[in-house]
Formats: sequence, structure tokens, C-alpha cells
Amino acid sequence: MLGYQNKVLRIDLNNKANSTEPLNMEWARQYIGGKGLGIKYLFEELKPGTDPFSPENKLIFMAAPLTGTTVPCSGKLAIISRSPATGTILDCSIGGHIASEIKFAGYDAVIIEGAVDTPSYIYIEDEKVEILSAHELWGKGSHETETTLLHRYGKDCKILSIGPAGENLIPMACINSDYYRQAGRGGIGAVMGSKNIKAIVVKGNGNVKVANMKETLGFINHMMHENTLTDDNLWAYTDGTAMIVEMSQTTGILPTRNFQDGAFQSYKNIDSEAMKKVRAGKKGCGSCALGCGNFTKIGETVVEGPEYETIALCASNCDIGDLEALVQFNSLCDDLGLDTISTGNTTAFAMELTEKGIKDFGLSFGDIDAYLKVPEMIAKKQGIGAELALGTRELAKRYGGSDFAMQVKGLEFPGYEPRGSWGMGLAYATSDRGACHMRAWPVAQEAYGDVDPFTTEGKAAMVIELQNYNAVKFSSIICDFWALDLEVLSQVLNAVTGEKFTVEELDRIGERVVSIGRLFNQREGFTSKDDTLPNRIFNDALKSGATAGKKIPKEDFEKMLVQYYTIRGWNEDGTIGQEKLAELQLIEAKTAMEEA
Amino acid sequence: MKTKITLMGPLNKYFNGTKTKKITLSSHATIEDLLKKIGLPREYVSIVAVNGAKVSLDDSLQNEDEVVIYPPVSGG
Repeated sequence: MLGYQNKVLRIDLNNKANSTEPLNMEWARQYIGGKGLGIKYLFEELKPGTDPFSPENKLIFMAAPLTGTTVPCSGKLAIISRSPATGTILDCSIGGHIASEIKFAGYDAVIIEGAVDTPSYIYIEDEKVEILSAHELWGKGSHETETTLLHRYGKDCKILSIGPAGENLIPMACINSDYYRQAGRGGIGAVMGSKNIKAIVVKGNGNVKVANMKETLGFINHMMHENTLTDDNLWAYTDGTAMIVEMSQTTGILPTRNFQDGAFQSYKNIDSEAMKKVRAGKKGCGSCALGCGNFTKIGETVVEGPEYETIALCASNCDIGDLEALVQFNSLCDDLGLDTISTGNTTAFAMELTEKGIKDFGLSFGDIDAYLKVPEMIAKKQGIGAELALGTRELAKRYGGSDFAMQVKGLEFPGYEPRGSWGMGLAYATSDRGACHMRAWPVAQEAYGDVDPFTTEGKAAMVIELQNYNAVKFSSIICDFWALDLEVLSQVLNAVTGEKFTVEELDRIGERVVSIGRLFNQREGFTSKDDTLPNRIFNDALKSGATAGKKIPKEDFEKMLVQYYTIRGWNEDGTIGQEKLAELQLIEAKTAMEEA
Repeated sequence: MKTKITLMGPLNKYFNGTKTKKITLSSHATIEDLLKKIGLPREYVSIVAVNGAKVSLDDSLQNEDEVVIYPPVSGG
């Protein structure tokens, strides 16, 4: 198949060596690339029970056949590992320009194994691979790190880096790129830190070949004019994700005061209109037609964003209705290398623990001064940060409050209140990496659409369809914000690769990708007991706005979960049945699992 | 009756770049009638909010209502 470079770069940090091998094209036919192929590689190569911080864990940077072409919205990179926050499979997605650069350097994937014993960075320029001292960069923020390396190697190279949070193995540390893009969740930055890798610099001088240039260019031209840049998608350009603040406020799903409510009184201070008044510029990723990035400048602080997730978890959820404070908090998290979702969510949890007299962290809802100190304390494990760094699940184990530790499997809830969108609750519970909105996003059809949000009816089927769709989309790789359908995806994949993926086959691939992630988790001991939600969702009614009085009765959640397993063809205990494994060509994987 | 209509995001192209306009409608006009009047296709609408509350397309409008119309958003 074309589009691929048919080459994997494997870096062995233990021996400071590297090698290349052909991409496993049999697997590529089944998983395409990105999320799916990365999970497949990790599933096959990682021994069950591997400590995420041990040198045996692997960090896989996986591009896809569309990466490095001018297909719209194809500029993202998948990063796969075992999560230190949850112990589950973890795949993250990062924008910017690094994905294309890896393909231009001649690789479909870079797999990092082992660890070095002193702070280092990796330089990759086509076949040249060097592991160099990062002594002078260690302890620096991601922005300074990137600037230093750009001066050293030139503006043509692209950089992945961690901040102090990743160095200190904080389970909510992210990987940054292009200054303002993150692979955010699950502690992926801490895995990189555990290998003592501060940064990866990539320079690629090659190109990407496609099977049918005329068809590919014709497709791109048509899509840009008829599909990508239409009203369905241009919200990302005109407003960015901040517009979702107004949508969530209207529909009562804006996380407020640690998910105690779904509507925030001061939302007008932090909505898209407020953002536009202080917008200082725009930015896009590689091959992006949408340019969703917005720069915000208040005083001396410039930040890309704040994006909706940051606004929801770090503003309304902390009862901070002050845009300047939010921008500062966002900027601190970015440079320190912290996931704003988990950081904001954990901060709000600590606020509630303090206010309820369970554990005094010196934080309270709306207290800006204390709030602004939190990111640095977490990143550097100083003061209360040493404990907040553990995340909500571990904090709750220590002090109590598990009913309102808003997380699943150890990953903190993102910005959608599930009591106002019941399918979202099911999506959080069944996501492969813990509470996540990027596996399925039923909010679009429920709270923001015509489907009744407060019923179990049809929700299992909806979540399954959305999970399969996102799985194959993020394996191809196309950015979340382009709402293309599988027919369009098959057209572009076929034009680029020369293959003949049908819509049915792509749906099957999506299902396979979800399933291999599930098998990975099963192998690590996860059961249906872990597919649940915190008791606040079942027991506490929301207080105001459009969702006042709403909660998800536990029996209704369980009904959705049973339906989910049934429709998926899984067993009652959430494990995947033999017939389904055979259908998805996963029998070998399951057998290997059982023999291990 | 007089209503104040705000079109969010790229939808303001249906108001030639202006975000908010006052529109006069016949009494008992529905949201659907409003969309037809401003030439905004149904498929480009996700949430319609009247005075801050989400409504459905066959809901009727009242005098002085403030309407906000959102485009569909993908992703999250």
C-alpha cells in the first residue's frame, strides 16, 4: 500500500542504539495506522503487568497513510503507551506539524524502548539518529525547551517535549509540540520522563508517495470546496472550541463546582464572545483546512486557547469566572507540561474536599490566588501539589470523597456533564483509557441535537457506532474536527493507498481497534466492574439550569451497559466472546493472552 | 412580532457577516418559519435557544424573544 513509508524506527535507549524494520503491512491492512496500529504493536510487544514507568514500557509514535499528504486535517500524530494514571491502554493525539515531519524523515512510526540514565533528547534527521545530553534543558518549561532546540537545529525541525511535570513523573503530564499542541491525557508525558527523554527533534527531507495523485488531488480540491470548508465544519475556524461554552451552558452540561452543577452563573466571562475580545491571532496544524487554534492575550500572558476542555475544567468547574486567571492557569499548565483536564478537575476536587472539611488543601471554589499556585505545585510536587499530582482517584483513596472524585479508571472526567447527556455517561464508562470524550461524543446528538438526553433508549448503539467511527478515523488519521463520513474516508484512503477499503470494512476496522484496546485492558485485569461512574452521577441531582433535578439512576446506567455489551457481542462480564473474536480476526490475540 | 436573532459561528453568513439582527415575524411563527425566512437550511443548525433555553423547531416564538442559533459541531 502507498501512503506508508513501510519503515519503523526503533530506538533502544538501554543500549543507545537504533534500528529500522519494515512496517508490519499485514497489521496495517487490519488496523490502518495511528491509534489502531499503535495499539496493535503495543499489544503484541508489551508484556502484561509492565509497570508504565519501567524501561520495559514502550512509547510509540504512530503516523498513518494520510499523514504527510495534503489531505485536509491529516496532520495529527498518535502516541501510544501504557498509562501511568490508569494502567489501561493509552493513545493520545497531538496536532502541530510533527506527524508530517516523521513521515518526511522516512518513517511510519518511531518506537522508543528502554530508558537512558541521564536526561537526554533524541535528534532524528532521516537516517541519522542521535541520543544527546539534555542536561541544560532538564527542569526547563516546554516553551523554552522548544525555543532552544529550534535555535540549535533551525526552524525547519519539529519538536516534541515534556515540561517539569513529565520529568517528575506526574500522572497528568502531557507531551507538547509546536509550542501549543498537547498529547494530553493519561500521563503520556510522564512515560517520556521515565525514559529520561526531554525532547525529540525531527527533521525530514523526504516526501510521501500516494497511489493515485490525480485522484488524491481531485479529492482534496473537491473536499476543500464542497465538504471541509462548509458550515458543518467552519465553527472551528470562526470561533474555535470556546463556542461550546455557550452550548453547554444552554443545555445544562457545563461542569460547575466539581460537577455539582451543569450551569455556571459567570459563563459570559469565559465564553466565545469574551474570548474574541482578546483574540490575538490564529493557528493551524499541518495540512489543516480549519485552523481552530486561537491565541488569547491578556496583559503579558499569551496562550493558544483556552480550549473548551480547559475552560470547562479549569474555570467553571473551579468556580473561576475570571478570564485572565484562566488564561494564566492555562499558560502555566502548557509550559509545565500538564493536562489541563486532569489538573482542573483535580483542583476542583481538592476545593470540594477543603470546603467539606474532609481534607484542607487551602483551596476553595473561586479563590483565584490559591488556584493559580496549583499548576507549579503539581508539576514540581511541592506543597499540596505533591498530593494533588496523584489525581482524584488516589486522593479519594487517601482521604475519602470517592463519590465525587469525577473519574473513571483513574482518568478525570472531561467537560461534559453526563447527567445532562446519558450516552456520554456510558461513553465515559466504556472508553478504553478512562473517562474520555474522544472515543465517543454522544453530546452532539443528545444535548446539542434531537435525541432525548435523559433516556437509555438507543444509547448503547449510539455509543458503539461513535466509538467505531472515531477509532477508524483516528487510525487513518483525520482530525476530530472534520466531520467526514466513512464513505468520504474510504475515498481518500483508497486514493492515497491504492487499496479498496469499503465502508463496511472501515466500520469493521473501527470495531477491531476498539476491541484490541479492550483486550489489552482485560489482559491487565480490568473487568466490567471498572466500567462505571462515580456515585455523584447516580445519586446527586443537578441544581440549576436546563438540567436541574437530573441524575442517572444507577439501574438505568446498568441497563445501558448491559445493552452495550450485548450489541457489541461481548460476554455479560464485559469480556469479548469467541465468536466476536473470530469475526474480528482477534482469536490469535486472545489465545496469546490466555497463554501468557 | 419582533425578535432578536443571533447566528453563532459561521452561520452569520446568512446575515451577511452580522451576528445579530432584529427580525419581524408573523405572530405564532415557529423556529422552522424563522429558519425559512432567513434562508438557513435545517441541516446547518444544531441548538436553537430562545431566551437561554433550548427549544425544538416546531416551538412558537413570542414578541421580544431572543433567539440564538448554533451550527453543528463535530468532535469535542
